[in-house]
Amino acid sequence: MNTFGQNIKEDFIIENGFVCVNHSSFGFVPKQVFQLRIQHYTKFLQNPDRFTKIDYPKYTIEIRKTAAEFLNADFNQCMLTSNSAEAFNSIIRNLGLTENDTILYFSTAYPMVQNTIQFMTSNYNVKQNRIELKRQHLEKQKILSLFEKQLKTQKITIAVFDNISAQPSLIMPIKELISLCKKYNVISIVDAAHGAGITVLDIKDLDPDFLFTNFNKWAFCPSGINILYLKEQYLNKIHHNTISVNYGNGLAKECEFSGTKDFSLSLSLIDGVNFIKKYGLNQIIKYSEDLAWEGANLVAQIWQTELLVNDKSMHSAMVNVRIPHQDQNYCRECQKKCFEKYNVFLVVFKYDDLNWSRLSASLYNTIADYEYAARCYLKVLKGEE
Amino acid sequence: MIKSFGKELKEDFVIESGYTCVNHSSFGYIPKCVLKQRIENQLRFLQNPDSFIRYQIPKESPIVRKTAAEFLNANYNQCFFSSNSAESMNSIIKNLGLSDKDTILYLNIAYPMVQNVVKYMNTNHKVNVCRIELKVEDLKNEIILQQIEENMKTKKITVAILDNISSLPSIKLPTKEFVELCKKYDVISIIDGAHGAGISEINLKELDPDFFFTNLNKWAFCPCSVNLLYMKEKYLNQIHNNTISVFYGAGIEKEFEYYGTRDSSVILSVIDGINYINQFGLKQIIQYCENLAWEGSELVAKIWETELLVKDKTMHSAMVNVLIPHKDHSYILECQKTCFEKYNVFVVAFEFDGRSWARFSASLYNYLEDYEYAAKQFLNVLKKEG
Repeated sequence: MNTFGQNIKEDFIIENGFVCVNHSSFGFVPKQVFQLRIQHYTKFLQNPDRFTKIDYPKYTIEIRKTAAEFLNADFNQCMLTSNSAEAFNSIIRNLGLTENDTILYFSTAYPMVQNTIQFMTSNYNVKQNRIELKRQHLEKQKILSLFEKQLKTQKITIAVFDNISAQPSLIMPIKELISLCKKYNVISIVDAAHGAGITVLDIKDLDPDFLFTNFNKWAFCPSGINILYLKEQYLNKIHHNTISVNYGNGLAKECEFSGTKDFSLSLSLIDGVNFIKKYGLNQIIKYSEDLAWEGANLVAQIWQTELLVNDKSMHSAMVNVRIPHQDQNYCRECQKKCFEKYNVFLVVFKYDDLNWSRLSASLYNTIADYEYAARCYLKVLKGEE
Repeated sequence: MIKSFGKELKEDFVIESGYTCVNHSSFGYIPKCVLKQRIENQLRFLQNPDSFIRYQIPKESPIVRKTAAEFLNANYNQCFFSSNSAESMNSIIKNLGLSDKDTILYLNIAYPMVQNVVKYMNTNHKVNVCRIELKVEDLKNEIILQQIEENMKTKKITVAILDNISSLPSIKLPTKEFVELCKKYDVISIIDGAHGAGISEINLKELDPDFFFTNLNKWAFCPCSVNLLYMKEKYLNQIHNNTISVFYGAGIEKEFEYYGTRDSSVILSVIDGINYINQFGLKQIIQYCENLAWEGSELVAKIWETELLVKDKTMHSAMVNVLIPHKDHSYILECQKTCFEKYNVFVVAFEFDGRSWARFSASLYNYLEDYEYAAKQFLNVLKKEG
């Protein structure tokens, strides 16, 4: 696809000379989105009274409607938050959970999610049920089977699971997981931090109790813009995690204003979605997924190692490759050295006793990026730099 | 060559062309030089967020905290950045382990966010509340302190909250005496210094409260919004960021350095804002703003043929409250909107003690004509002559 790759790279805000193989942590934005962002920002700063009192209440409707349409959800059930942490904290801490409740989650859940669950245990004695996913379990049917076993044999109140996990990164079978939750009368929370822009999310079809997704990871918005979706029945129950002037005025109002901040930022959601529409979501997903797969396989070849999971269908635009070294600390040191010396950042993490790297792909990436990343990191690992 | 305050300086600020700003205090307005640097910082973040978040912020954040801490005369390891006063207040109150055995004391003129947080603690954790009702005639230091002490004497108060400078109505509060009373009666003191840095001379070592938070964007020329949260050392292991995220349990410093993806490059502007202040001198800035807010409000009161809420200049910072010559607050809010749309000036209007008041703020780019303009146009609209 000629549109993507080297041709489009100059349309992106990326540091000159930086080889990016980690789009997924924070996202990178197109220049046109950034230019519009500066326009919105300046407008806000030039007259914040006008912006917050007159313009912003109208903008938030437009922003939420754009997001809702993009995710196929009702806009009344879509709220603007800054990031997944705010969204998840707002949900979990307002469900009235006690020692009579149990939260089910996978060992691959993002640290923020695990920490928030731990907080609920420490402060409210809420019980936890953690499903250990080891390498041998990383198959759709096994994941579902382990999940259903817990729902069947334990009294679970809530289940949290990723749309696409972070480390290691895999597509989770959320449709089936949500169905299982309904079958066993469990509240479902989908952590779709990795979601909008890299998955075709159809919330009406999925029908979870809660779902939150970042627009700055894969939907070409600057950090941090997040949409929290919830079923109607929770609209009067959930409060924004930060109590502020709109507390009690409805969740939409609470999310609209939860303290002063840069109110112009969320306008970039519309610009990011427009960028996606320009190229087509399906085209973007295909390019990114194919390249991540091809790139990661090349890395595995250069490192003479292997992928964590060999099934392409379990991957989005992030793939995990085994690092040819046993010492986690050493791998991290090399990550830093590689970054400083070769201007390429590799995500490095430990999983099931081995060290892995996660490679991501976006529109501006080409196969050369993965070759470069693989060779540079290997040099550093071998002390040859 | 440093420009003088007033009209000459206005072109150095990011203010909509033709807009008459008499409400600096709600969000703050920034100098063009600060915005320019802010955009550069933001670009630096976006160009390489891995580098920025993982390596640069951990190095630069302590430096910024040191600058801000020095500005407020505090230890930087007791100072942390949040996005706003709401985040700071939520982080404090929800982590004090308050229960139905505790009582929170606050004033009726506390900011709505603070009142809502207290309400939340009451509703969800059955924490008791003690709200001091102040009327117009009570807005004097002696009376305020006397009422606070009376309540601390007769009730078992756990935590007490006081503004440094209140919002609506806006007056300076006797924070030094308040902290002393808290110590005398063994009460945890929280000072809402949302209005603080840049418009007050704050000396936290001397003031010595348990907790203090202040916006850097209201009066310290930082873009909207950055807040500094200060606490005594003994709370460092107790207070957690209200947002639980990846660094939960890794120490309060880490919890506030990163608590979810956000544009943390904004904190770098704190240094630019403080540098801007130091260019002129904090005392000079405070003097200009306080004098102009007073003079401007007296002019408004004259034009409106009304009066100031509090007639003691020493009780004011750079915000002064003037009685609006109308009894119907809904009508006044409509006029506020019309005046904004038609005459491009926003007049803050609020209710207090059965009457409607306007609040006028002054910053470096303001001059007397701003208040004359605001007063006349608002009056025109009120009288339906506009």
